[in-house]
Amino acid sequence: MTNYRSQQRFYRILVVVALALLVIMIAAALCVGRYFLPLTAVWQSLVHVAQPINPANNTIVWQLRLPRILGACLIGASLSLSGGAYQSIFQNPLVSPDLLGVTTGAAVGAASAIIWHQNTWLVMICAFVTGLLTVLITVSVPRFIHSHSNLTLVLAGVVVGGFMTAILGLLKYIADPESQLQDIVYWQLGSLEKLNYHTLAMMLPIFVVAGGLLLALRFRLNVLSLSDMEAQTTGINVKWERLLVILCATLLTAAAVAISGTIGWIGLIMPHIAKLLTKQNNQRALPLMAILGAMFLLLVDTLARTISAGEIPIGILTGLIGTPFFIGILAKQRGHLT
Amino acid sequence: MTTLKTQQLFYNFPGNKTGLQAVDLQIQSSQILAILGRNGIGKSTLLRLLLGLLTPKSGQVLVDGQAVTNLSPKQRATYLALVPQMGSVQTLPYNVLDYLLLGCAANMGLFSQPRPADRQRALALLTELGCQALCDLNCQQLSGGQLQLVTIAKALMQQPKILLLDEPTAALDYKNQRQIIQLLQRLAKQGLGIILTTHDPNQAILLDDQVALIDGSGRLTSGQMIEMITTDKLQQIYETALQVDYLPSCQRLVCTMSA
Repeated sequence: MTNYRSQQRFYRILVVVALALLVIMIAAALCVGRYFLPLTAVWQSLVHVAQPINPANNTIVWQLRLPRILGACLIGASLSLSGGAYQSIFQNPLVSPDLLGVTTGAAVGAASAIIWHQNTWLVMICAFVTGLLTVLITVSVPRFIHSHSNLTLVLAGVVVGGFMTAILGLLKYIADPESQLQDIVYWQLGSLEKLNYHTLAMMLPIFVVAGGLLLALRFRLNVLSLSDMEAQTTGINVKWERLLVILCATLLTAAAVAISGTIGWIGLIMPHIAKLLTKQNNQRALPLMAILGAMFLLLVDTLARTISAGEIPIGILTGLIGTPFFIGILAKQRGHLT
Repeated sequence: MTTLKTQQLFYNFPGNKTGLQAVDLQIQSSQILAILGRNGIGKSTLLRLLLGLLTPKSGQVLVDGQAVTNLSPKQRATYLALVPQMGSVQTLPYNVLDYLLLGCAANMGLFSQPRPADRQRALALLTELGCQALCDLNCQQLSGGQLQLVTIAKALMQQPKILLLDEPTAALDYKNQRQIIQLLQRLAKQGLGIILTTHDPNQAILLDDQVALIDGSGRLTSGQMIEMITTDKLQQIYETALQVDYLPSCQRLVCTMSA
């Protein structure tokens, strides 16, 4: 018990440190960019909103950097949370929104909506519906072929994701190259360039509600990671609670995809690090997961917009970091794959 | 006083293979019922039927007069708790105390987290079972006997009226078998009803209470241990030559395979 108490204390300190680091990173991200602003200038802009001392600085801080930084935090936290939720629900450490095909599925919905009618809400709804449909198809493949190993689910995700990529290709083929194609390609690569307060405000309720629900359900996620039979006899409604978690996780992914395109790997890497730090307990890992996800995407996005004159799509950077990490997890998991 | 009983329970295995037929059994608080039968005869299936996890072809399972399939999972969990044969505990990376807390789920709201009081209760339970030293260990570090104790403790966290155990002693050495058997007897004395499956008649002899035998056609007969554990009946159940004798040096019946 004494050990347990010290663990609890360690965990609390961890969350506080992570939050403090996130605040420092936000401050740093407000400073850096194509035009460097010293911290004092950023602070002046943040404090003097009504009567700006330097209007140009205010525009940079309030209109260009802040929405993007807030968006990076929200999207990073959402993707990380939904990845962690999927991993628990499917009792499979190898899944994430992108590996289950959800992000590609959501991108198909977004692309269809772009071709059909340009409207952010419609893009969001279509992204959600196709994202959910994709996860349901992916999950039913192992059931259909009566093979429940971790590897089957991952392979099903790859196959269904491939199918969705094909549909996305078809949509790109029929899209108007003058206007629609560009938008679709933007979605596929993933970028926070087009984020603004308007799109953020639209998605904020979804992030808050679905993310809040997942955080509130974090103990249930522990119970759901028992075998179905055990979870059921523990007194929870496995079917409904699992569905609720899948809906929240998919909603988070779809909302993220609808405003930032497909950003891979965060949903795989961050939950792993959070679980490593909290001894795998979702109850403690989930809040940390959200903070780490926010930190990671903020870091990657800040790199994407600062390391070169042009902007590097985020998907490229997360892919470069994510692939070796995934191989590392595979190596650790090799005994449990079949 | 809680009563769990079945009325003319029929169940067919997938592929319409005949499973359990006309099963009538009854158990109440403070009783221990050991269900004996060959491997693959439907002992675990019967437990699942009792828990309402499977729907019988006909007949029903009644807990205090209510059909178990009509109860919500939450209500069911306040009556019945399961200790599965291969619990997921081995694959779970939680520490023992966190694992035990999973048993509180039935008494908690959808969005609530375990409270310090729940942790105290888990700790008290571990102390009662004599394994308070395990509370900080990771489940993956435990031995087979410790795993079984911890899984039972998690089921007890549900505060059930009847505990169902699937082959609780199957993988254990003698000392651990005795420990589990004595624990079950102590729990029964405290008022818990206990149903367990086993393929070893000696376990039923040691528990010395109710025994149910499932024969090759899926029919179940039950009664007191002394009536049920006989050479004839067991030979019929296991379809092999075996012998039940009173062994004075052990001061109990012993079932052994004949040469």
